[in-house]
This record gives sequence, structure tokens and C-alpha cells, in this order.
Amino acid sequence: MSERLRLADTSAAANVERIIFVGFLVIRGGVVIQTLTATILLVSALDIPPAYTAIAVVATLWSVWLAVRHRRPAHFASAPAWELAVDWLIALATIVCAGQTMSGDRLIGTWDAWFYAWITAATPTFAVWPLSRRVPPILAVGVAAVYIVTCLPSNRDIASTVFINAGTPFIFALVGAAICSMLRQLAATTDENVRLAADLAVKLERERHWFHTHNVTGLLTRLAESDTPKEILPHLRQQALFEANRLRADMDHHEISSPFPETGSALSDVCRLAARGFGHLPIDLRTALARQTRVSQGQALVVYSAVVTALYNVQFHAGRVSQVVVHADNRDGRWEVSVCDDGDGFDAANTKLGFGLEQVVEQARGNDIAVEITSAPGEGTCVYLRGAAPNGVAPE
Amino acid sequence: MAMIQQLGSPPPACRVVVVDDSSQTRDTFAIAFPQLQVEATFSSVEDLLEAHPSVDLVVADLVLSRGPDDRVLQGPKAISALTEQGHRVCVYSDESRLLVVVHCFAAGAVGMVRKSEPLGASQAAFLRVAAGATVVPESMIGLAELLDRRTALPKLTGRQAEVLAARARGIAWDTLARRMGISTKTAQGHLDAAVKKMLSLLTAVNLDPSASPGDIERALGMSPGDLMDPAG
Repeated sequence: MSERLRLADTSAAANVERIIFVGFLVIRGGVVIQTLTATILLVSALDIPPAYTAIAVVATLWSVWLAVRHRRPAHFASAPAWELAVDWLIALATIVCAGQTMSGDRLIGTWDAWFYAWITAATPTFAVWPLSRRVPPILAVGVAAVYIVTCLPSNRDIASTVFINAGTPFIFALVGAAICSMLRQLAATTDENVRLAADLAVKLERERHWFHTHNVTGLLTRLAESDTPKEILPHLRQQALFEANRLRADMDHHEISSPFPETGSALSDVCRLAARGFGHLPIDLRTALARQTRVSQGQALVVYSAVVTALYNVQFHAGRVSQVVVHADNRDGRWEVSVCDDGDGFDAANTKLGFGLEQVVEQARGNDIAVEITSAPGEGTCVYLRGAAPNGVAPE
Repeated sequence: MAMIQQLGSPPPACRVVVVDDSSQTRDTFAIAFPQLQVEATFSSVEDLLEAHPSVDLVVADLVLSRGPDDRVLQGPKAISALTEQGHRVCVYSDESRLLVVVHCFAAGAVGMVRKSEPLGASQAAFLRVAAGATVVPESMIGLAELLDRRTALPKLTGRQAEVLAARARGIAWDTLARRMGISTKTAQGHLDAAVKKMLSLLTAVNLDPSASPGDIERALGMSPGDLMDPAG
């Protein structure tokens, strides 16, 4: 459970929200400094419109309150919409207050006009609240409209400047909304992929557990049955010991232990190792043709699992068998391993594969190995594995 | 190691002699295989050679010595001596090592029957060998494929090679016959022909019974390690 919590805390979404929060602090902190500097200059010049000073203080306090309120958990992911409404109204208030308290010539291009810096910096931060990405541009349109209504009447001679200035907060709002939206989508995609990977890992773990235990259940059944022939009991006990050791190793290391080196293995060695422990079956190993054929560690594991599974199936399901041939070949750039028995067989076209063979097919698919299973009632069963030989036919 | 080759038809009765160091086998052979007319049993090949009986088949165990100091004639050397005297020899043993089996057939054996086979199947195999057929262990099919792939065998036809490859993989007769669109009997005929070519090769190379695995591999045109491959 603790691992799950840590995972959630370090999710991409959480990280992106923290980045957005830091961006908000930087932008809003910068404009607050500008605002306070301008206000101090106004105070020192004894030219203080009280309402304008008051709105500067309100805007600053509001920004500080936002930063403090959201410092834990350092994001706006759960911030309510009313905060955005207040932020927007304060931006509008700065414009209206400036227009009401100062002459028209001071509204554009002066230190007195700090409100413009404020609205330009505030509009891109509208996107930090987790609302629709259409909201910030809409709010920015309102800001621009109020700016035009406030500044244009007294600055008709520089109307173009007024309109261009009005467009800037809108553009910044669009940029802020786009960046925040993309970051959040990216984080959501990443987290979804992580979740899928985690689900897959759980599924694989569960299937691995089944794979390790489903043969053991058959063994236990055979050992428990009173009519199991006594002559095969020593072999079953040997298998049971082998499976017990394998399960113990699996539990200890919590990973698939591979008896094969990373550098690859000879196909004949893989088959021989897989047939070990099935001494009570009439196995005929014919693998000399693939003695020089090397397969990767992944393919060796698949072949090993497939041969073991096929031999367990012979043991538990094939009925009375007089021969099981494990054959390996390498010809025309392809290798082949087959396990054929002369047991009861089954209707391959109308019979669903058992769990073990299903797993074999699944594992093989991920390792570029083709699997074919043929069987017919009374004609035994063959499991074929085929793959490309490295560099074509291996040298003899 | 099931019996697979069936060439010829069993005669109405056949006379055999048995060579086995186990008195139990010698005493019970006639009871176990009532269709065989057991003329005599011997505990050593030397005694049999001295008696020189006129029979259809010699059924011989492979290991006849009672200890490391007991230097009796046995194994491929014994098969060779019996063959030279004009006998058809069928090995009766659970020996499954390919190298030893190859030695036996190279020495002139025409059949090999496992002691652990059901009695009925064993008797049928003895009768076929006595009638002139060759009975080889299933593992020899793998050897035939190996020799074919090492281009040591006389050229097989496409059908012979196809049947040989299928049987070397253990594919059922019915299955392979259906796939090839031929009858099971025809398929068996193709395999018989391939096995005959292999046995001709084994006897033609005139192996020394004491030849090493490397010598045999060289003589048969195989790759180093083919016969001694622990898996194959």
C-alpha cells in the first residue's frame, strides 16, 4: 500500500501541477514586485490616488493568500472556481480603478500604469485553475474589453496602441491555457501508460504464479491418488522436489530465474535440460541436428517452458504413451523444436488450449517464435516451435 | 524404443537359439514366446559357435560377461562372429545408447528387440526378423535423418526424405499419411527404403568393433559429436 501512495504522489500529473504552481509563483511574484515598486514610487511622489493604492494592496494580498493557501500540496489541482473568479475581478478592478483615479495620459506607457503589467501577467495564470481550456481566453476577452472601454476614450489619438495593448493579455491567456492544457494531457497520458504497465505487470505476475503452480497441482494430485503406479512414484517425487525448489527460488528472488546465460544457449542443451525430471516418460531426444544452433536467453526460456509444459501435458493428459520424441532441427535459416507423443490425442480444431500451452503461445509471440499444435484423436499430439536461426544456418 | 520396421511376412514357425548369461531368460524363453521353436540356449557365444546349430535366428543378449575379468565374446564382436558363421542375429537387450546400437547393426545384426517390450510385440518382432525382415529401434530413425542431412546416405527420394523427417519427429503414421495424401502402407514403404539405405551404409563402412565414436563418425560422414551428443 505504501508503494501505491508513493506512486500517486510522484505521478506525472502531480509533478506537472507542481510545475504549474511554480510558474504561477514566478509570474505573479514578478508582477507583485512591479506593482509594489510602482506604488512606492507613487507614494514618494505624493501623488497617491488612494483607491488605486488600495487595489494594489488588495491584489498583492490576494496573490500572497493564494500562494500560502496552495503551498501544500503546492498545486492548484483542487482549487475552487470561485478563486479564479476573484482573481479575474481583481484584474478588472485594477483597470477600472486606474481609469477612475488617474488622468487618461497616465494610463498608457507610464510607471503609474502598473495595472497593465498586472493584467498581462494575470491572464496567463488563469489557466492554473483546473477548468476548461476555453475559460482563460474568455476571461481574457473580458479583461481586454474593460481595458479598451477604460483607456480608449481618453486616448483616441493612440487608439491603435490601446487595441494592441488590449490584445496582449488575450494572447498571453491563450499561451497559458495551451501550455497548461498540453502539460496536463501529457501527464495524463504518461500516468495512463504507467497504470497500464502496472496492470500488465500484475497480470504477468498472476500468470507467472499460475504457470508455476498449475503443473504442481497436477503433481500433487498424482501423488495423492492411491492408484498412481508405484513404479512412477520415485519420478513424481523427483519432480515434486524440483518444483518445490523452483517455487522456493521464485519466492526468494521474486524474479524468473533463468538457467540460461545471457549470451545464449545451444538448442540441444535447452531441450535436454527441459526433459530432465521426466525420466519415467519414454522420451527419445533427437536434437543432434541443432547442437550448433544457439538461441537467445529469452528464446531459450520459451523453448524450455514449452517443452516442460508439453511433457507435463503428456504426463497428465496423453493417456498411455509408448514414445515421446523431442526433436530439434536447424534448416534453411530456421530452427524447429517439436515434442510429439503417440498418446490419445484430441480434436485440436475444437478444443481450447489449456493454461500452460496458452502461456507458451503468449510467451513465444513476444520472442519471435511461432507455435503450432497439431493433434487428432488416437494420433497423439505434436507441439512445434519455430524461429529464425541467428545468421541463418549456424555453422557446424 | 518401439519396434517399427516390418519387412516380409512371418513364417509358420521358426527355429531359434538363445544366447543369454541369465539363466532365467534361457529357462523361460520358450514359455514366453510359444510361437518360436527354441532349439537350444547358450550362456556364451563361444559355445554357440562351437555347436554351430542350423537355425533361422540367433537371439543374443549384448552383455554376457559376469565381471571385468570375464573375457568372453560379447557385444558387436560376438554379433560379427555369429554373422560370419552365417547366422541372422537379433539383439535382445534394453541397450538404448545410439553408439552401441550403431555398432550392433554395423556388425551385422538384423534386428534389435527390447527386453522391456510386451511379450506379444517382442515375439512378433522375432518372427519378422526370422522371416527376413529388419527390425530397428525407433532411435535409429533419428540416426537415419542425421545421416541423410550429413549427406552420408545414398540419395533419398523426396517422399522418402519427407516420411523420414516426419517419423524422426515422432509424427503418427496416420497423420503423416493424411498430410502426404498416401496410404499408411505406402508411407511405411518409403521409410523402409530409407532405413535399408542406412543399414547398407552401416555394413558397407566395415566398422571395427572397437572403433571410437570419432572413428565411427568419420567413417559415416557425420559431424564431430553427432553420435556422442548427450541429447541426441
